[in-house]
Amino acid sequence: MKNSENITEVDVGTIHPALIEPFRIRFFVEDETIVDSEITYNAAHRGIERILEGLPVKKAHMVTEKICGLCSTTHLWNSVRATEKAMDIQVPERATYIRVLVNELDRLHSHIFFLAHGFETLGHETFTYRAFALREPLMRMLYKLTGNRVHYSTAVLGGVRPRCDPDKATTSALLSLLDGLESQLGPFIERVTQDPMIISRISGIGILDKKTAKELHAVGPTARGSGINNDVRARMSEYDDFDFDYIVLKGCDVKDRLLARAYEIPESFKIIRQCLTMMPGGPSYEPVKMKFETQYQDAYIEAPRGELFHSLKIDEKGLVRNYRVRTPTPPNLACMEKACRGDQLTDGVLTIVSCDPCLSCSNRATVVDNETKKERVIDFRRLKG
Amino acid sequence: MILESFIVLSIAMAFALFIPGFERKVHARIQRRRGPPIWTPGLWSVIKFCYKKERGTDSPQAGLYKATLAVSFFSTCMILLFSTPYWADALGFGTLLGIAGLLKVEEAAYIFMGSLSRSVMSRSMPFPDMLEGAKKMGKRAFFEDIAATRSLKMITFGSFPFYLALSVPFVSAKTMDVAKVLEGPAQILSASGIIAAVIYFVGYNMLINNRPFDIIKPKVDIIEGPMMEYSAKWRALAYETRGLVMFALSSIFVALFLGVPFSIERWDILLIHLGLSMVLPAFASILRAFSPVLTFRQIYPISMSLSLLGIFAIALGHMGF
Repeated sequence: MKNSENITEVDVGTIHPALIEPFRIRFFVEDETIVDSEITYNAAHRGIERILEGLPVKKAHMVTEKICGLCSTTHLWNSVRATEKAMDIQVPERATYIRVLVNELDRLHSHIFFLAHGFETLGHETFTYRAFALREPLMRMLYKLTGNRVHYSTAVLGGVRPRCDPDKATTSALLSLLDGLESQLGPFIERVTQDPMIISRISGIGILDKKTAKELHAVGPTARGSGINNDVRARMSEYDDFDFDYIVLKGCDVKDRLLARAYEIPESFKIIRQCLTMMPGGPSYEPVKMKFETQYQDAYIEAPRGELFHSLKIDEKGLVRNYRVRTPTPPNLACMEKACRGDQLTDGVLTIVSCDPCLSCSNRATVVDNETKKERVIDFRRLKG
Repeated sequence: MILESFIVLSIAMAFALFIPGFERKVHARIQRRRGPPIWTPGLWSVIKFCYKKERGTDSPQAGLYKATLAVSFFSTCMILLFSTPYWADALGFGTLLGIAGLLKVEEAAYIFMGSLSRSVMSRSMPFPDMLEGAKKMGKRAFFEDIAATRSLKMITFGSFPFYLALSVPFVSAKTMDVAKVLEGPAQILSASGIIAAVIYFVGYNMLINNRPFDIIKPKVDIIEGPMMEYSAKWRALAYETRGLVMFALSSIFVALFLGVPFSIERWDILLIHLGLSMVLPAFASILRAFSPVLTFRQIYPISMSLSLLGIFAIALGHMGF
C-alpha cells in the first residue's frame, strides 16, 4: 500500500463501546472508504500456555475451561479429548452424547450472543435486547443440565461429571424448554432475515471471496460464509451418530457470515433433540488408568467461532508440557483486515464483528531473543518437545 | 412581545425536558422494558449535569467550541419564536427563509463542534506506531473530524428533503409568511400536505440525529461525535438544546401542517398544540426502535428519492392539490 496524502488513519480501540474486548483496529481511510486496516491485540495477555506448563493434567483441565467464557465447554472438552487420545482412554457412549449435548447448547448460546453483538454493532437496540432475552431460556437449560450458566465443567477424563448426567425428569424438562426456545427463536430469525433495513446494511459489505478465505486459512462460520465447508464436526467421530446439515453460504459478505451462524441454530436444535431422545443407557463415567510420558498429542474441535486446536504432552511425572492452544481467531484475523477494505468506516467495524474476534482467548507471547534482538519461530520439532 | 416570548420559551423549555423521557419510555416499551422514570432522561439529567464539576475541554479553542453550542441553542429558540404568531411580523424573520436559515445555522453548528473537539476517547494511542511491521500511512484523525465531515454531508444533501417539505405549506398558501400560512386551512388535508408531512417526518429524524440517521454520532465508530467534549453544565445545555430542537420542529409541524399554532392566549389551543407536538417524537421513537444505523450507502438513495418526492409535492401544492 502506497503512502498517500489523502489517507487518514482512524483508530478504534483499545477501549471503545463497539469492541467487547481490548484490541485496536487501525483503519486507513480515504474520505470514509477503508483502503487498509490493521488489528493490534495483546492488550490482555493472560499467559495461559505458561500457566499450564507443569500442571497436573486434571488441574490443567480446570484452567483450559477458563480460556474463554463463551466457549468454555469447547476448550475443556478439547483439552480432555487431547489427553484421552494421548492416554488412550475410551469414553462411554452416554458420556459422548452428554458432551455433544452441552457443546451444542453452548454453540447455541454463542451464536445468539454473536447475533446480539452484531445487532448492537448495527445500532439495532431492539433486536439486541430480543436476542439477549431469547438467550435466557437457553441459559436456564444449561443451568438445569450442568448446574452452571457459564462454566459447565462437564467433561472429565473418562466421561462426564455425574451431576451433568440427566435423569428422565431432567431430560423431559429439557425437551420442553427446547420446544419453547425453538418456537421463539425460529420466528425471530425469520423476522431478522427479512428485515429490509438490516439486509440493506449487511449485504454487499465485508467481501471475503472464497480464494482469499482459502489463502488466509479462514475457519468456522467466517469460512463457511465464503463457501468453504470446513466444519470440524464432519471429522469428529463423536458426531457420527447425529443427522444434521453443515451450513455453507456463498455470498462472501457480512450477511452470509451472520446468516451462516443464524442458520446453524436450527441444526444445533436437531442435534440437541437427537441427543436427548437417543441417549444410550449405561454409565456416563468410568474410572481411568492414567498413563504418563505420552507422545505429543493434538486435538481439533469445532468451536462456535471455528476450528479450535489444543495440543500437549505429558511427562513422566504426569505433568503437562508444551501445551499449545490455537483459537479460531488468529487464522481469521488476516481475513478481517482484508474483508473490510472498500467498506465505509461504519461498516468496517461491523465486518470485523461479523468474523467474531475473541482476542483475550487468542493472545500469545512472541519469543524474542534478547541477545540477537530477533523474533524466534518455534518449529514443530521443538513444539513436540 | 417580550412577555409572550418569555412565556413561549418557558413552556417550550419545560416541554423539551419532558420529551427525552417520553421518547425513551416509548422506545423501552417496544423493547419490552419498563424504561427510565419519565423525567429522568430530561429534567433530572440536566439538573445533575448542572451540578457536576466541569472537566477541561479537549479542544484547540475550547471557548469557541462551547460558544457554538450556545449559538445552536439561541438559534433554536429563535426558530421556535419565528413560528409563533408573536414574531410573525418582526423584521421579516417570520418567514420560510427565516426558519430555514436558522435551521441551517443549527445544523452547521455540528460541523464547528466536530472541527473543534479533540477528545481523548477518539485517539487513545497518542504516539505513532513504531513497532516493526506496523503500517504507516497518512495522518491520524480524531473521531470528531469524521463527525464534522459527516455533518457537512448531511447539511449538503441529507436534510435537503426536509427543506422541500417545509416549503410545501408556503407554496400551497402562495406566501412566504408564516402568519398567512397559519390563517389558511390545515395542510395535512391536501395531497401535497400528506406527502410533505411524510417527508417532513423523515427529515425531522435527520435533523435531530435520530436513528436510523444518526450517522454523525453512531456508537459503533465515532461514539458521541461532535458532542463528546461537552461536560457538566455544557452537557446540560446540549441536552436542553436537543430537546428544544425536537420540540421546535414538532411545533412547526403542528402549526404548519395541522393548522394549530403555538398560541398562549387560549389554553385549549395550547394544550392541543402541546399534545400534538408529542406525535413526531413518538413516531421517531418507534422508528428508532426498529432501525439500525444507516450509512451513506443507504442515506444517499433515501435522500435522493425523498427529494424527488418533495419536488413532486411542491408541484402538487402549487397546482392547489
